[in-house]
Amino acid sequence: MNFRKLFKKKSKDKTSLSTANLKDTLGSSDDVVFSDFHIGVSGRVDMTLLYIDGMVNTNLINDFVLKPLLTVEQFTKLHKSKDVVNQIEEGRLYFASHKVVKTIDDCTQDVIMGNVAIIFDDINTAIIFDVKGYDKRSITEPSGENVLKGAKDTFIEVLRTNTAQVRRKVSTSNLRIKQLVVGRQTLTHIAIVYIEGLTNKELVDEVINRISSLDIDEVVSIGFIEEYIVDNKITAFPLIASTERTDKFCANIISGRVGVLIDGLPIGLIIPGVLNQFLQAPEDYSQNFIVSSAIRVMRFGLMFVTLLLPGLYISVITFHQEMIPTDLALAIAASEAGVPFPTFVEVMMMLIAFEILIEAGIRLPRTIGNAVSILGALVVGEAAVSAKLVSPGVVIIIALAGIATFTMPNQDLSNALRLWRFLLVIFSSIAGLVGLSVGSLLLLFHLCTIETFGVPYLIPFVSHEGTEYKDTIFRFPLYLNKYRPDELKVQNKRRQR
Amino acid sequence: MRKRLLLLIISITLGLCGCKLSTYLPRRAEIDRLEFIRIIGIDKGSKDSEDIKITMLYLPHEEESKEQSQGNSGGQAGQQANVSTMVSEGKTISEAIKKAQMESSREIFLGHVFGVIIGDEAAKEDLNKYMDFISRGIEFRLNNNMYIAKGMDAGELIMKSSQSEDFLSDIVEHFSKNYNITSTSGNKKLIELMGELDDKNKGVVIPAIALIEKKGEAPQGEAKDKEGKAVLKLDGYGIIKNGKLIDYADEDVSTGINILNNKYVSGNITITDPYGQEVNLEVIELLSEKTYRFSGDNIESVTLKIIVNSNLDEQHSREDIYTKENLEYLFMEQAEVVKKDVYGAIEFAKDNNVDVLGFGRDIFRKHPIRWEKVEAQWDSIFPNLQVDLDVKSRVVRTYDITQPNRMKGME
Repeated sequence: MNFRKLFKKKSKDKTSLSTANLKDTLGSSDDVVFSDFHIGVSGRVDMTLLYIDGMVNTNLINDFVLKPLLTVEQFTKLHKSKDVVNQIEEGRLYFASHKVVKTIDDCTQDVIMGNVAIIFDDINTAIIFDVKGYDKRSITEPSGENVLKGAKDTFIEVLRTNTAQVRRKVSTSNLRIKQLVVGRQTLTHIAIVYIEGLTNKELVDEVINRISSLDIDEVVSIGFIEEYIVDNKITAFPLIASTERTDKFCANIISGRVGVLIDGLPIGLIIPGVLNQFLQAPEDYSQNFIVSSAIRVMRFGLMFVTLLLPGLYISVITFHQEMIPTDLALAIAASEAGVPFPTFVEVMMMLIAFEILIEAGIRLPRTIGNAVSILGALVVGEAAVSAKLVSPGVVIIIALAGIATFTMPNQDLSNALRLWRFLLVIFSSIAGLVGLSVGSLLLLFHLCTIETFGVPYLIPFVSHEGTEYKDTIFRFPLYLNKYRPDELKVQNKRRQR
Repeated sequence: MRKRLLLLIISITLGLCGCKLSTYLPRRAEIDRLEFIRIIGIDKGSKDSEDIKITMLYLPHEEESKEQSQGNSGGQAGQQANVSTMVSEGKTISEAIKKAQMESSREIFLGHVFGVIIGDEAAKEDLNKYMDFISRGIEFRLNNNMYIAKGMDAGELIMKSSQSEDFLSDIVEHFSKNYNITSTSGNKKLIELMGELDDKNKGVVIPAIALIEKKGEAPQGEAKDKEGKAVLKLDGYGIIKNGKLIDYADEDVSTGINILNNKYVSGNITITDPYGQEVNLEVIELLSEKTYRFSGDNIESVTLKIIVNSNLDEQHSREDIYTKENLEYLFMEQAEVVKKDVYGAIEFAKDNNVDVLGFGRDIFRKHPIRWEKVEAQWDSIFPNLQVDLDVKSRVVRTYDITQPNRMKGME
């Protein structure tokens, strides 16, 4: 986002850096503070202090900017604005973070970001001091990505804090953080994080190009970036991974992926995101590799349970009753007796009820959310079975599929699976296992067509060079995992000796 | 291009399901509207012998079962609280089933049929006639168990056995799983039978089920039941030749057939020890191997090498029979019992001129070129085939003790 575009309609005299022009630009907002003062015993140098109330630390301004300027002899004896600027530039003010700006655009941008500007109208110059002091949330434990054995810190809403956290974890001097501004109205700062000499340069350039070419009003959630920059927009599956955990973010950066941090959002984006990645949890690497592998196998299995179980139940119960043992068939037939709806309707009703419960649980406060779960699962479920609205078999199947959904480490993947589950249920209700097979083929076809930043979505299952399976369904010991993922085309492929 | 590919995939998938255009979609039926048939009996028609009579035994649904147990069993065929039957006749099995369907409140479903029992008369007439529907029907499982009702109609067997407290399908299931405890009969899956019936040189055996009226002491090897009750028993084999039932093999002959076909899994051999007391040997291994001697392209004889190993699990005498001399005696006695069964089976097969011993099939596998020469004359060769028998018999273990209780005390 070129900041100058915002002001291109202004005439030349209107673009010169002066208090009057700044007042015009920033308008009559009550939180914008213009304060005039003078240096020297006779007040020969005029200056204007400009900042936005609430975004600056006024103590810093008072103690480290105003007080020295107005009381230290070095400044009070000066007669010209130019001399004052020179003195400050030479570091006589003992304030580390300051810079001189000559244009109204730069000045405005810095002030909006929470800095203070001292404007010298006579020489059309301003000095910017970094005195940001707005309130921010402290670093807390992850709320959506719980972990037992692992770092507990998460991203917060302040970009600089987030980049600092990344710096702390990835201390290499090659870590690069490129900052862009996106959003006509929000002017959101976005940081592109990668490791120079490791990450594929083309990937970095592509990410920077796509983000910098965005010409949108606002960036108030990750969708405003994610949806605009992905290749395949017509899919429910996530193509960019997101995380609130700094360790996960950093691990991906080190693997050769590109990270994106957005000011105002406590979430980091990881580019590109492939299916295998969404089935990996950070804790997989904290546990014994055998245990992790067993959990991974179960997780992959549960993905299919989530996706296929309701459809399979409909297929077997409505079309292929010969597939199940006789005793089970009789037990299910007994449980279905008296239920007025076809199995398909029962399953759909329960799936929708399940979605309602999830939505209610998310939207309501946590304490009430738990009550809704209990009310929905126990009371309504039990009542529905007793009233013969649904059969116990359907309740069990939907509960199993629902619980399996929650084992997915990534919520976006879980959402996509839940959506496709509905489609597969419809396919199954039309043609049983044939329908389920057709639906599954369509899903596979769809997944095979997806690419994200030039990487096939199903990698490494669709194309590989042999080493990639070490971190897929099974998690091989870390000492065997010597290379970074092939698909990322990293500059330094070897991860360890 | 993608859309075309997608349509192609869908078309192929639907096309492979084997249905007509108008019936692409599989049959839909809610599970609680199905009548799960467990056993089907097939007989000749009761009025017209050209007709086919089917007797279907099914498990009633829970609510029906409750009604029946409360004494409300209605309709033609309610027998017990937990069992029901349907009887129907038609020119074909399919027609008979459709007629039965018209009288049923639920859809007849054959996907859970566990056993098919062919009546004696029907099997004697032509087994292939009845097999076609069973083999062709998409609902039937290919692992259905096939039986012949020994000396009676299948329908009669089903109806009489339905009066028992045990559900017929449970009994048949028990037969299918435990036939090898004594190895006096066997188990025949539909898919096996389909293959065997296609083999013109192989005699086919189908396990026979007999219904025995119990009025007193139960015969050896059978569970006791209440007096006067009909009890089902797996009773040897029905012998099929050219698709027709020609005879029944009793338990000894059936044992011999099992030995020669290497289907003898376990069983008991009861002999007498040198002191004239009973000894029971539990067979742990009984294998046979056939070797053929040819003269040119003509087969001269078959040599059967049989190995029988057993454990001594019961003796009635108080003597130590686990000595070299006594053991050799036991080996010999055991071999004699095996020889008797095998010779009985060979004699039975030759008398009926039906190769249920697997000689023809074995020659085909081991000497396929020579088999081509003898195949046409196999019917005349088989009854006159010289069979030599060599039995290697051993008693391997005696379990926890080698000498009987009180033997030492008596010394």
